[in-house]
Amino acid sequence: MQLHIVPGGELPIYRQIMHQITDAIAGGRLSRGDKLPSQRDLAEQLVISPLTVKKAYDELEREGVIETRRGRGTFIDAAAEAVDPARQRRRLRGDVRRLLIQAHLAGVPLADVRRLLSEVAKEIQAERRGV
Amino acid sequence: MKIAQFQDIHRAYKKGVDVLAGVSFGVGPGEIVALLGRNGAGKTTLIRIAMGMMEAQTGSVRVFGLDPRKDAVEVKRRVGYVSEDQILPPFLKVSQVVELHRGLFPTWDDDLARRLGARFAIDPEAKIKTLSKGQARQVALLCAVAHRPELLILDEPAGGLDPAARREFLETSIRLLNESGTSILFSSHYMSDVERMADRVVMLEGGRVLIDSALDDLRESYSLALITAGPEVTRERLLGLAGCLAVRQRAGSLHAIFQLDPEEAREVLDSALGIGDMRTTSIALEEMFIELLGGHGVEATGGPP
Amino acid sequence: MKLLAAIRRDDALRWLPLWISAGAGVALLLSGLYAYRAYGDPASGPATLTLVLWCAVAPYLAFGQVRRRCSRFDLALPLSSRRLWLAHIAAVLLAGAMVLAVSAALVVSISGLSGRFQGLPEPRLDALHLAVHLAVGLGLAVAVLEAARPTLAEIPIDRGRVLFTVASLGGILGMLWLLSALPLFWALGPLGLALALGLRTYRSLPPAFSLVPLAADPGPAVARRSVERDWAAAVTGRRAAWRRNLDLVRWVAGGPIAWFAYPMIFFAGMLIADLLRAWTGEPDMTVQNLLMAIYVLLTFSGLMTARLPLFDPLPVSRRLLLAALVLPNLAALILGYGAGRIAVAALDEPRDLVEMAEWKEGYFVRVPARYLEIAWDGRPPELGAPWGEGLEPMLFPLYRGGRAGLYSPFPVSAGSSPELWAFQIRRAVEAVYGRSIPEAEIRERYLEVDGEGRVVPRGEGLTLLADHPGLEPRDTGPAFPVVLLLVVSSWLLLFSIVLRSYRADIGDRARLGVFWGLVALVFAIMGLHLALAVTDVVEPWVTRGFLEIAIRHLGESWHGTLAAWLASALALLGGFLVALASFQRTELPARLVLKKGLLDLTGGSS
Repeated sequence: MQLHIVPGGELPIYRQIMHQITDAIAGGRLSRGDKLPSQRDLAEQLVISPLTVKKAYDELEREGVIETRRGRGTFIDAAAEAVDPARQRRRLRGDVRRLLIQAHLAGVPLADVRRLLSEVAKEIQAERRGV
Repeated sequence: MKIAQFQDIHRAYKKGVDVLAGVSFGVGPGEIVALLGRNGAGKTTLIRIAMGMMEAQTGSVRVFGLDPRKDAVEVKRRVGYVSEDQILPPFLKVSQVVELHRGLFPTWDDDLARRLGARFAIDPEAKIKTLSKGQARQVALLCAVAHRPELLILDEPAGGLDPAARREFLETSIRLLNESGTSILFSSHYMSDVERMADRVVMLEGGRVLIDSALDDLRESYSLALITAGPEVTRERLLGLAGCLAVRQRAGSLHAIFQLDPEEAREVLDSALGIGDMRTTSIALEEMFIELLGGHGVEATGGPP
Repeated sequence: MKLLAAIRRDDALRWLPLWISAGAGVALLLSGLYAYRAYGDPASGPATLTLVLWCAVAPYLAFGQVRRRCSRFDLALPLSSRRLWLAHIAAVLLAGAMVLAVSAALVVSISGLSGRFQGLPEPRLDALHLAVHLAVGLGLAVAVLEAARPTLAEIPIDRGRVLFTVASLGGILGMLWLLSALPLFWALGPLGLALALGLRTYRSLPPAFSLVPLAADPGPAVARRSVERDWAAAVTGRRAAWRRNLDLVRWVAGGPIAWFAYPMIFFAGMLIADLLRAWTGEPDMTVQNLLMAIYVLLTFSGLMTARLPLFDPLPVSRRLLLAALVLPNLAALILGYGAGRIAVAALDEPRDLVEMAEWKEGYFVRVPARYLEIAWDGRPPELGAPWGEGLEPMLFPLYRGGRAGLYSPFPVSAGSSPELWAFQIRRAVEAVYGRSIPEAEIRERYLEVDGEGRVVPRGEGLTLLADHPGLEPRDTGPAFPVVLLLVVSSWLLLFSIVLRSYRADIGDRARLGVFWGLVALVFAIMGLHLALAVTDVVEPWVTRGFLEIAIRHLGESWHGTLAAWLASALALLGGFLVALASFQRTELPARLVLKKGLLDLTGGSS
């Protein structure tokens, strides 16, 4: 699994890590029992403070998403269903809100946005099948 | 115990003009603390005080519980130091500089030095003065980390480096921290580097600590509100609101920083002023730096020479 | 107009008052020395004044901003390199001419004024010759010094450049000496050479100066070599701590400045070993020599602090850093002293130290000043023979109107009897050689009474050395520790003041003021002493006598000698500790500005 962080982005880096991991679980790219990179490796890989990685992992562990087994590493503990869909939706809501504001400012009616959404969705599906 | 502890540091270059007027903060074990502030805010002075290269007029500094002035050698042995204006002896060869450091630091790690030297691909037989700025800084970094210091002090280490060299610099520091549990105190004007690296941010202004906060808290509990100015909506009014830290007038609008998350800030503004025409967002460090430190001219207190 | 502004801005005109006073100082010193040497032999060669004045301007050409063709600021202006270069040449020539003019005026006027400097180079030299020769020398020097690296804004300083500068300036000195023996039109030769060189440099100037030499880019070649292997080789073995410390000494107190510093300090050491007396026969420069040594040590140790900031972030104790700076200077001084003693021993021929010298209308018993005595209250005791004859010695005050002074413990006068003479000479011989010659023998062998009843020397006078083989002067006392104490402790005390000024709250300007102010102070004391001597307020031989008598008294007993050595050691240690106490408090700036130019070791300003 590849993580990608944006310093200075909307969210603090530890949140970006948390979200990307929960997203990956919800999307099925990570599943229960999968091993996560160690905190050190992830810090070096992303060139970020190890304490930031630790904070992300600690939070995820507190939420029961991951589990650290002493001496063995960190593993995914939650199944896809366990990820709270309401929360995922709440997060997406912000993105949708931004999209709609953009559309409003650009004078694109809601119906067109809907059409655009389904078009892009089809494109993505096609790409995924192609891969 | 704190690795480094500053307690009420005062320092003036001219009588009556304090560059530092009572600065207190600490660096914990394994922590990466970023020191922010405008030019002349006293970052370099503070760092030089921590290195024992300058004296605090009042207040105390402890590094590893020692006084860096009195126990200078002991402190410097356990610290790695890279600074933008630090000059390696230009008349020496790289290998001579390395040899010098190697002899002076009992904990020197030859393997690490070789590894870094090879990675930076600098000719050890080259004279320092023939190196590019980036290469010279890399040699300085090599010398600063090869003894696996307990505290790495970086004063604007990336100043003048290209993005690739900067990233390499950060990677080396992170790796060192991972391998040796080193704490880092650094100053930088590259806010993206700070966002990446820092656990905690200490912002200096007017010789004092303006903000000392975990970076994540800073990102999550501060927000920026952009409000259209009007007869009812003035700078003074906004400053009177709960949680409002600073307001900057920008043409027809006001930029207000709140120590609240965006939703809370929106509610405060809504209930107090009944303003609809506004945006509240979370705020990146760069914006925060500009909004907090850029609005009112920081008095030219004259940086270190 | 732009050209004029560029001339005025040129670094070559910076510190001009300093160079002028330094040049004048050198000229006065040399002409004074020359005067002493030429005393009694007033035939001064026509070259002397030319050469003396050349030596006055040479320091400027060597250390001034001749090698910096233009500043970074000028580099950024829309001025062609040729214009900038011409402005620079004009500025250097102007500065050099001013140094020469002031020095010449001073030397000529003083030698005209003071009867004391009768032996000074003849002021009525052919002014045309003098002017032409100096102008040619200056022009040629500038042309030669400016010929190197015409593409660079500033000629880099390295070992080769230092040697080249010294060789050119020395060569031109020789050339001037040759020229002075030839008719005037011979000066056209070097003049043409200077113009040709200048033209060649002018024509090879690039459209714009560059700051760094266009060396072959070593980048890719290095990358292709196996850097891993290089690094594995570079980081092996471990050096002993003492070798590391030696490296530190080499780096702290080394560099281009060392080429000037250590020879100068070595020479100062030779001077305080009394070389000048043995060499020129002139004994009265003792005070100047001591001051000169302090001056040289202070100047160079001060300039050497420029490298300290490089080592400040390292875990090196301040004590070690200070020792690395102080010890090489001290060693150069001591080695110079040793070499000076050897040279003195080689130059000094045994001669009779007890003489009958003529003075006014009579004779007196002359011994070197160190065998006189000090009367602190200004009242020398009456010294008489057992039979009652005697007289009060004459007093030579330390300064005019002063109380304390020197007196000869062997006084005789025109009316003294031959017996008193023999008595005093016996005592003088005992004091100087530590051996006793019977008074009767002295009376018979060396003295006679002339027609007017005065005692005069018989035959060739007191040829004691020839007549008494094995007569050796007594030990003159522990001069080395005393001289070392005076010089080194003064130096370290002044140096500690310099170090005190290295604080972040003391600006560059103030710091420079303290350093160069103290250097100037030592120089001024030297000048003051000279002025007092010229105006006869002090007699240099009396000043020296005080010092030498004190040293002799210390040497008379083992505990005196021991005390001298102990005091010297303590003063050395104490001076070092005082300097260290200052240095401990020092805050070194990241870049230490001491002087722009030759000694600017840390590169241009950021």
